[in-house]
Amino acid sequence: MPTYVTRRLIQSVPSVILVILLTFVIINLVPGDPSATLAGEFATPEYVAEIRKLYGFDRPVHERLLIYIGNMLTGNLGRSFFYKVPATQVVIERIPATILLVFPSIVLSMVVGLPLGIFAARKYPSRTTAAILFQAYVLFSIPIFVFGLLLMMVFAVYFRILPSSGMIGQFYATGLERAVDVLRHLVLPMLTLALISGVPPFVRLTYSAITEVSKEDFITTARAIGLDEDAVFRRHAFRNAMLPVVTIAGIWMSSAITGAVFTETVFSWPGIGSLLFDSILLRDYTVIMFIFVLTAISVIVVSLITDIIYERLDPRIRLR
Amino acid sequence: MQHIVSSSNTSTLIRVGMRDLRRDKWGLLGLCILLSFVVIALLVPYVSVDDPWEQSTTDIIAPPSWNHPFGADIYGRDVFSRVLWGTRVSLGLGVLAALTSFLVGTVLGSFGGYYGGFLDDVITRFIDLFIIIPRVILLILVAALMGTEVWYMALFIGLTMWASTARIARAQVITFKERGFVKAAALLGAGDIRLLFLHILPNGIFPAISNTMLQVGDAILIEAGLSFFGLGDTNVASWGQIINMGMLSISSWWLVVFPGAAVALTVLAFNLLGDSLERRLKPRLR
Repeated sequence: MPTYVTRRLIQSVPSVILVILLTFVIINLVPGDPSATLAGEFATPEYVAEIRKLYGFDRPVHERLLIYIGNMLTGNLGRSFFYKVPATQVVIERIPATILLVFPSIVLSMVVGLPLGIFAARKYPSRTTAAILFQAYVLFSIPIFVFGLLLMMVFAVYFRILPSSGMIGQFYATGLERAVDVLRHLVLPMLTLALISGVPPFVRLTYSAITEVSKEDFITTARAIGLDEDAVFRRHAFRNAMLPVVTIAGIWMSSAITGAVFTETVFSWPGIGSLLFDSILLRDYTVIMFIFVLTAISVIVVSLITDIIYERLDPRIRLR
Repeated sequence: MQHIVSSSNTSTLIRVGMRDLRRDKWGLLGLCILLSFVVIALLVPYVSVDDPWEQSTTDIIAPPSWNHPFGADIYGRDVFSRVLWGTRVSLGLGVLAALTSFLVGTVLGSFGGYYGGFLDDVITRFIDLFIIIPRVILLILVAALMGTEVWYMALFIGLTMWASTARIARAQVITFKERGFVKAAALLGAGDIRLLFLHILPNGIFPAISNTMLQVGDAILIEAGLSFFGLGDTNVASWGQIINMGMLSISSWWLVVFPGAAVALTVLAFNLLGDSLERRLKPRLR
């Protein structure tokens, strides 16, 4: 198994490099460069030219790419143009906020989605199934920011029981008070992310996985040898159906990140999503690059982990 | 050289697919919703609703009323007519994006699957790349950097979505490559291109089509998202644009609910249709 892991790791490296290449090329396709903005409002043309040389904007793209990769390998990812501190610092500061938002959302999605999917599958041809699945379709079709805005309008503006934005309302609270404050702010964004991005895929996937598996021959056999429905489900249908669910969890990372960008921006949640959005608008290239690289790496890592788990669960892969 | 007719049963499949549509309630629902929107989109120029661009100084952010069934935005423009006209934009954009994705994805995927070897490896790498990079983020980047005209946006959205279609197309081509009728045609002297386009693709294209349908919905969602962030084409009355204005005044629910519902319904329609297509084509191809 260690060889499987190392093999996959080696396979991932070109992907990461490609991501970096692609982002770098896109960013640099834009005519003009930030030296005018960096030089400031009152800069003279000579000063702008100096800045250009200092930052290396006058060098050709391939040279800059190589310099960037070289720097990256030594851990230097540049300075944020906007915040004037290392890009790594800016980004890493905001990672905890995003994790605080995304992880509970995933957990909530699974806790709600899996049982609903299972329930829908077991009750197969019935109105409950149709209702559950339809709900999943509808939720998935609503734009995530519309849902977020709606929640905000209803609970924060109209009923005024939950805060509408940010992560912290009371700046000087500590300990339990601070925790409660953050949690209150977490409710709406987490609900938005979970209900729109997380629950529908899980419900649909679990449902189709279980219905597919239930049609297999070995299930019929299990029933024929006298196992009762519960046991049939638990020991055979459920376990086999979980396999594709695990795979999808990995791919889902991508859409989770997208959802996080929207949710964080709507609710002004100070995480990486809103940072990315702000940086793009501010043309803060170093931060953008770093977030892209980080995102690509985390998606790759998550799918690697998912694959490993899948391999452990499904002996057929191991024996290939 | 005698012209070898493709052994596909395309027309039969279409007929069979359509026939069972009556029983598939959800597909039917999706189709109905979609048709309503298409009708709206086509008829809007001929129906007299308020000019979507007509600004008013008296009706700024007006809640729904008899004059303005959906209310008015910050420039006094009638939201109802903007939503109706927005149908044309969103549908057109969604279709254009999905078409782009379909073309690029099918071509790349099938070439990769057919020729195999190094070309296939390269193409697969590309596919993986586009699957890994979160699309919307890439699009935000592109939009911010390169401007936001509607048709370019549609193209770019399509260019980020092709990966899933490519994967499907590639898998299909690999499967069909080994089938009897394809090998027979090859033995009779059919060249690569002919084999691909006359024999393999007409049979294998259907999962890609249903996937593309889902992608129309996706594209509309993405465009709405981008417009919402101010990265859309402001010269165009798309639904996302209306919601973008809605952010400005948080208590003006009509600026969010109506266009939001429009988007949700359209996307729902495409999702239902796409999935129903997929469901019904699956067993038949077995």
